[in-house]
Amino acid sequence: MTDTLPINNSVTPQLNEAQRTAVDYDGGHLLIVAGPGTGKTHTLTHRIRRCLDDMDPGQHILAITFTKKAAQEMRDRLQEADAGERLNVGTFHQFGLEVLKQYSVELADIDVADPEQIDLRLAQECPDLSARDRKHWIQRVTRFKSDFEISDIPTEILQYNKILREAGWMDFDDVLIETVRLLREDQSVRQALQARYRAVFVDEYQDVNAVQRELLRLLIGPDNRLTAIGDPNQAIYGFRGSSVTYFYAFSKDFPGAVTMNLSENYRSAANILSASTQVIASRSDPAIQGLTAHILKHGRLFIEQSATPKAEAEYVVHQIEKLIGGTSMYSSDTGRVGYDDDALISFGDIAVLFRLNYQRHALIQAFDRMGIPYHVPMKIGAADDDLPGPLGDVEKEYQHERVTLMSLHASKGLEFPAVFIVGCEQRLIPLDIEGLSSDPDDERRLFYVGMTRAKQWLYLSHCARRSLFGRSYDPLPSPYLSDIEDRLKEYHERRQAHSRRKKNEKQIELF
Amino acid sequence: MKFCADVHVHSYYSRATSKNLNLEYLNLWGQIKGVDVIGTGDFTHPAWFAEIRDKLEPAEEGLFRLKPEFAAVTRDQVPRACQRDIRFMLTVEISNIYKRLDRVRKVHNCVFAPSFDAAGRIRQSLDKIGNLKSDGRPILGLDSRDLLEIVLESDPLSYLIPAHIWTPWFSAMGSKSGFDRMTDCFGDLSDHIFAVETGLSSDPPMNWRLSQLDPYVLVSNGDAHSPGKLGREATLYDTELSYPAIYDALKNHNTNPGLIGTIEFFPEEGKYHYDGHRACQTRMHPRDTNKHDGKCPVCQKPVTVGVMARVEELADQPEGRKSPNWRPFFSLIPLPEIISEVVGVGPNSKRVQKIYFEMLNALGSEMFILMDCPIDQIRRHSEGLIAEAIQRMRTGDVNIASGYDGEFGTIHIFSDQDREAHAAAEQLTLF
Repeated sequence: MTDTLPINNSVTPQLNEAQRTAVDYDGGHLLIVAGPGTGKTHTLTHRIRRCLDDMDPGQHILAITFTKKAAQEMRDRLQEADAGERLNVGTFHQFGLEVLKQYSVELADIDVADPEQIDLRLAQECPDLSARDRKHWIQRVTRFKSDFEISDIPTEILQYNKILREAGWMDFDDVLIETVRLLREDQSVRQALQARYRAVFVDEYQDVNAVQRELLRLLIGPDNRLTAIGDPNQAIYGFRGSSVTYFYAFSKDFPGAVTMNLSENYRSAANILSASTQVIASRSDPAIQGLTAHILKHGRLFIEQSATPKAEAEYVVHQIEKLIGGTSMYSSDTGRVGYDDDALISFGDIAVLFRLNYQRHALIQAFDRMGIPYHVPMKIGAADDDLPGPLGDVEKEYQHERVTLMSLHASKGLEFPAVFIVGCEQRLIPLDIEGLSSDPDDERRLFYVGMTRAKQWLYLSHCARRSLFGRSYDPLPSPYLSDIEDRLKEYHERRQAHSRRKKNEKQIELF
Repeated sequence: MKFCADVHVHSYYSRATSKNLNLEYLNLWGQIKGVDVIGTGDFTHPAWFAEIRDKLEPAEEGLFRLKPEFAAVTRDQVPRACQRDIRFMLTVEISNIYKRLDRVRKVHNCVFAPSFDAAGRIRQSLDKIGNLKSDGRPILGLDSRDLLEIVLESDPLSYLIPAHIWTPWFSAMGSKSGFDRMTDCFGDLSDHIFAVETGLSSDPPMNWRLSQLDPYVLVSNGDAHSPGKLGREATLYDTELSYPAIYDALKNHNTNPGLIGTIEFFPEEGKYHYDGHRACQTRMHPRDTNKHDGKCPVCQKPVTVGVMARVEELADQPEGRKSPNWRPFFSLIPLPEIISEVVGVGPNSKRVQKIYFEMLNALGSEMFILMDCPIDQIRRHSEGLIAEAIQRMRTGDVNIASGYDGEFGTIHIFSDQDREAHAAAEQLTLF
């Protein structure tokens, strides 16, 4: 479920004017700025297809995606283009591994350890450390390695590297670092790759880190052309060392580059799009580009306050019952359901998003009690996505629809007719908790990513009281909610007790 | 032998069911109602599955009986004339909610297993897909076709019957989220469907108006959410009492005459017969719905389209047409409701219940009283117009205000004139 257009994109592909211009551009490097729902994948796929058609049969294309899943989708979309051997689609890690296997003398056969293996090893070597200590250690290593050019390497990184070397391993980050090293040191390898991949495409460019950017600079020689696509407003991986500054530095890094904008949104109802634009435009960033709504049908944007996370979960479950049109005879017979008939959607059309993974527990309890099917995808991002999956399970697997419960981070690139964002409160959104690193700009973009997943229904809910890490407090609603104009917000009819309390609050304010 | 089966039943682990919907009470009410074969319901629920394994013992092939120590719990409550052997069959209803052919489908399906092993295999497969613990009738985001495949792979004798196929909200052909063709629902596996359940809101003649349903034999079940509702609809067999014999009577209904007919509600009494809007108390004949453009005259929102309109929409055969393999059916009104109408107080009132149990004690099970008991005999053991009411019911001479949008229809056997005439006649006999 990535950006889609309301058209059949396999037979006679339809492109709007801006998309067509980007697809047909024949000059040098190209940066496509593609906001949410503007047909990013659609456009990128068509551009790749066109390049395949135009290029000599002996020439190859390299396309780099952010996740393995995205790579697979890209492959599927291009299958009928008869790309075959001429197209290499994969993540940065997959590509790096290929290069090392083919060209590196000493690393061709080295094992790449996954974080669980590494964690186990660290536990053996350093028995005094707690699981939490080890986790933070690994996080710091990753963060450090993403900005690999720092010469002053901290001791704990050196120690970590030593433990891995002794085990005969490297980690995911090493794959790219070693690839970059190889390309720098061995001109013949660099030239071979440059000659092979005349055209290189990179998806989600706002999320590249220093190593990835350096790898691209090495791959792109005078005769190569790079097309990058992404949305600086959706850069959310600062905590892993990605930096949106590389997006803005694109034309400096790749001289002669042209920038194009895709600004027609095919995903969200106009009012939902307006609300998300108001949230992101409140950021002090020069490059905010407005999006034009293509879907003029009015969506619903609800703001809801619940007493506690438990009540909030009840609210979510109750609204889902309404969206489904009742999950049981009982609920439809008793009038618990109530949207207009055409609006019925099913479980797979619904996502509940949260800022911190711990928030899922209250939701899971409510879902379990009502018997509403759900799943909590465990993968969070690029590195995790590269984990090897379980070996071929021979048992038959059936597709089945479930509500998706996931973090805001994990929702990137997805879309759902109905989206709930729970815990839209101070401290959680934006995340502002001691001991958890967060960047205010990243946080705002993250909320924007969450909002722009929604096509027709968006529910932003917050709690009057919450306990976090053993301490209770009464948070105010997230400041981002007040960035949305009042005319765009709807509130559910209040229960009696609720409105009485509101009234009391008002009276108190008067005195 | 002749026997009566109501196999779409629930346990107290299903949502909105009675607390005493357990095996002991099903065993009791099966005798009161005259139902010989009862579905356990809910076998995917882990706690209920454990309970049925614990309390049932094998009887005929694929059928089970309540162990004597558990049957003893309610033995004293069985009216003497009603005593009979009850058999259980392993069943569950699944609520499938999923998207197919670009629309949301909400389909209820009844699943039948010939053994604990087969039921266990089905549970195991479904456990990977959804939450079986929270509701005896689990909600799964699984396609009906895939559920059927799981059922078929569990045992050669496991089978699936689409439940109450016309219910607007939750059925294979319902107006809200069903299919226009039964074969669209089960796709390449459609041939493995050989029976469909009519549900409370439709009777066989309504189903006979669709030639696409000709390949299926019609069955009826009560879908009871409390033990007292057992057998309000049921299926009649005349075959060997065993799971394989029932299976064969269903699957090979073209050649095997073992399924002899069904017990039906008057369809008008079902909750979704007419169109309408419950919140606005709008009850509409499909003709009037068309006149109002499908909208509720009170709130202007679309009305819930009932079963009658839905059947009309899909019918390709004239009224009165019989399907090639039709079976007879008997439209019954629950006995407490008949007594209630005669004595003029609610069916759950003490007065009605007293008369009800007196009749059961004297005459036999409710099914026997309603279907077979000679009217003279009923007259001897009941008061007032009850025998006359049963007579009228048997000939279909009743007036019913149709149900709509989740509201049950209401029955009137007698008009005010009938009552006056009766009162006068009584006085005459007195003097």
